Amino acid sequence: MDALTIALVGNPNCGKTALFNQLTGARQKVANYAGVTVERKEGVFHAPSGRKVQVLDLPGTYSLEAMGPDEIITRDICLGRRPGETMPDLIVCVADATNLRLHLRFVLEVKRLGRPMILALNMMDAAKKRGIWIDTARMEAELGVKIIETIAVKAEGTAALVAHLDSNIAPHVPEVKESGDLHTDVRRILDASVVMPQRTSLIDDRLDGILLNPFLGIPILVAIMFVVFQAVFTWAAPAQDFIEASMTWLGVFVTQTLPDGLLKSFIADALIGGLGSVIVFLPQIIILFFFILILEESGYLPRAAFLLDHLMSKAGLTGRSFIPLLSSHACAIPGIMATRSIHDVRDRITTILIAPLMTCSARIPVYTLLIAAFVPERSVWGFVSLQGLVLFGMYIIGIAGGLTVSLVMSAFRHDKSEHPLIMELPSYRMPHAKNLAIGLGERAMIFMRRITGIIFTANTLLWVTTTFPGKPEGATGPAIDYSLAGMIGHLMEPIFAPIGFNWQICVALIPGLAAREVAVSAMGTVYAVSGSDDAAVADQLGHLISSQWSLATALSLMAWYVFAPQCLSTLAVIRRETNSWKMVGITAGYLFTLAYIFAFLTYQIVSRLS
Amino acid sequence: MMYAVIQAVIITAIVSFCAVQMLRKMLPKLSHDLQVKGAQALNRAGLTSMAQKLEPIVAKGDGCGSGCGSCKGCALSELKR
Repeated sequence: MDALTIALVGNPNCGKTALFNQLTGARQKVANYAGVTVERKEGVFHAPSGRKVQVLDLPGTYSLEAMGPDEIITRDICLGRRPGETMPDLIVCVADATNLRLHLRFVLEVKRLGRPMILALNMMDAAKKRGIWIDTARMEAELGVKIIETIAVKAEGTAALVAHLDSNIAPHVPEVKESGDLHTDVRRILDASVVMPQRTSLIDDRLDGILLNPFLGIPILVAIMFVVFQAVFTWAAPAQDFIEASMTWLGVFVTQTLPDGLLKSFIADALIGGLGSVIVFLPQIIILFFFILILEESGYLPRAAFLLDHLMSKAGLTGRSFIPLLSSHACAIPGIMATRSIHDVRDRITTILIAPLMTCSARIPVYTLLIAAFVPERSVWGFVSLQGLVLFGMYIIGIAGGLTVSLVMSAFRHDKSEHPLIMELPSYRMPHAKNLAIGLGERAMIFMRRITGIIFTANTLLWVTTTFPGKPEGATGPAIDYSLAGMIGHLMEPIFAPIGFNWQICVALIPGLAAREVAVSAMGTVYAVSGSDDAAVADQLGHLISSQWSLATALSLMAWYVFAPQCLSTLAVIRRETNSWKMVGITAGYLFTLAYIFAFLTYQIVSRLS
Repeated sequence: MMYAVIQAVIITAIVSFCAVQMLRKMLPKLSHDLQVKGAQALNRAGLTSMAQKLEPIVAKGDGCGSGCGSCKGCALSELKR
């Protein structure tokens, strides 16, 4: 049989990417909110007969009357207008069976293209669980399009689709009727073929009545985030204590076992002193993502976008900025890439410029190190952890900083037009324990890969600069003062002295440009090489800095990390997404300037007060 | 004496590896150009199999294919719905 090219199209969040993964075996990001698939993906699989099937996973779109770049790509490929792209033999329109009122509208639009198509009615298991009864045969007759039921997240859930693609049946071109309103047609088809349950929509309506309430919605959202950050500090303590104790034991073992020399210095200072001081933050990151995954799985996150839409529009942002900015709390890089779903160029640039201000997970080790070292471990109002409260405050400062920058940018814009947010609100559902476990496992692996990847690499090179050249004969100061890192640190110190940074911090900032959390391991290495007890550094870097730094210095460093673009990868992605070095320069320039100004103000004010 | 040599070899190997990794990450274009030039030199010297190994792998697209690799966020096989 001839090879077949199919294109997967559909609304965002209909399960296209999951279907693509299931068919081709590829693994891509699939999440419970719209706008994840921001670029075209391609894969190949062989049907049981040996037929080669090429699969294009196209960006999700709500309409073919395309406005944004992703939607234009989808429309052009379907119509064979995209240069260098083969016109698909068959369009597989994917629709969420639990949300047909929205998705069928797009199906009807695709049908009007007059191209060979079938409808993959996805998430049929979820529809059945919710009591949605669909008469597929009747819908097929009403729609005039072949329908195949799929469950994209299960291997057997795509068997019928694969069998259809593997058959000799010629692709069906539906009959096109130009007349008629799409919404009227959707209603007609749904009335004829779908029976909706009362209970699911009742539960959704009742929950939305509380969670999206104009008065209660925002306070509930703030309360949820507040609880999350409280838990990050209080729940992580036992696991962190265990990791710290293990690192101490390892440090003692290495220093007592290995003979003096370079290898001992490398293992003790760079590996245990450096990497050991970062790995202790794993429990906090796991706990933070545990809550984020629960919110994501339950369907609450799109509602948070809805709640914040009004606030964001007041700050000159579009509602479409929410998902990129939310993603930026994990890492600015996927967040900046997700801005492709924003149609308006100026809205997109604004979102890109403020995405680095969102508190990414790489900042957590820096913040928690400083908070644990300088903020007393006590409760306020009897039950609130002060440390958790400060961490929560750091997130709020990041968001407020981003909104303020956006507000200032919008003040200079001539075009004040607003772009309304169109976003589906999925039904609430109970998070699955297995999915949570998979998600947390992946977050843990990402963190460990960073430790064994970029952090290890940067820290090893830093250790070289802190070790060489060695102490000259007759020199009396610590060896690190004569090393390359020591010399660079002392050279930088006068520039950063007004914001309270000592030369050790200056040294740590340089490798910290590779990734923010490298600064923590770098400080661990610098203090270890400086002559501090290696085991103590790995165990208690926090105690070490709390005895050597002032509170003003610690708060100044936190202020610096709110704004400073201490991540070259983020700047590289901005260059790629905007195709402009000027934009990289503007981003780095304004962020470093803000970082210096706020660190300066923080240091000077706190120094005078204390 | 022997221990000093062994530890120097180990440290040199680790540091060299890290230097190459950092070059690839922070200066991907320069790293790519150096790899191409190295592969061409090996080809001219008749060492074709080594040249093939040194040739840079062409990035297939955006996301994780771009060689960014900073967060691995794009590679997440996220939560199944």
